[in-house]
Amino acid sequence: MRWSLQTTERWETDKEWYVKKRPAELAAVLRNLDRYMQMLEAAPNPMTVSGGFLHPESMGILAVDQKGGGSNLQQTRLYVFAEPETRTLHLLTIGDKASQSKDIQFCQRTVKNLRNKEAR
Amino acid sequence: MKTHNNTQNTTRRFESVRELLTRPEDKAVRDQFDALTAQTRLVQELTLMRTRAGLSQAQLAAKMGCTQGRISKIESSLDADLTIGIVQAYARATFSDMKIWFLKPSKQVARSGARGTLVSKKPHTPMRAPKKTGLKATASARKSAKTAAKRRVVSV
Repeated sequence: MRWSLQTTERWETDKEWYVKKRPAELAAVLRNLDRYMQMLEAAPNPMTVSGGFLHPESMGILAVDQKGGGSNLQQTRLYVFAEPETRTLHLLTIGDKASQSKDIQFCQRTVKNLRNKEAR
Repeated sequence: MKTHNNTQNTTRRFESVRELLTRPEDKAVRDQFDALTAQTRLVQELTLMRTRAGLSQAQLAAKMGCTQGRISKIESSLDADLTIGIVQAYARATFSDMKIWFLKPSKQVARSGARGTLVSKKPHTPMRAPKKTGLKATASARKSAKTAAKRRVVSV
């Protein structure tokens, strides 16, 4: 079974904003997300995948940055959460340095809900 | 700055990243995404070689005799920044065989100009079938000469 992506409504809203306001940053972050997906498929253990554009946060949340997308890009983080059991990569939200702490709080709440759903 | 009125979790499922960019209004992002992908094919292949071998950047750096920072820089660079030496070093460290293929670009790729780094810029001069000398070229020899002209492989 291949890895698939699952979005949240917040991701959809954020993506709309980035499509209009910061397309270059969005393209760079999505390119790195694509690279991460390929690495998940290739890795003997998906949870040990590492790379310069991947930043581990708390609760298994991972931030994918815009590195490699060119110079003069705003620092951007796409927050994801991988579920190896269902081979699902949850796209939680995307933001910049200014929204970082709020974004991480949202991600932690969402992951908690996901884990509670799983436990039920 | 982005704002949020609603943070309910209505979810959608996608099979690939590119599928996220299929609407007409996503075209600008999609074009940039495709351009970045074309510029980093070989770099991504190196990253996947490391990942398949189950190595972290630090472990690979130890095998290659360089710093983890150097590996990080290589893996976030463009194909155009790579050298054959780097590719060879990755191949050695991950116990991979290395072959470089020069292919004629397909019509679609040639039109878009998105050749990547694995394809040579100029099409090759086709190799001619052996001239008739005293020896007759067999049909299979002529066929293999044509195939070789289309696809040349260099083992390093």
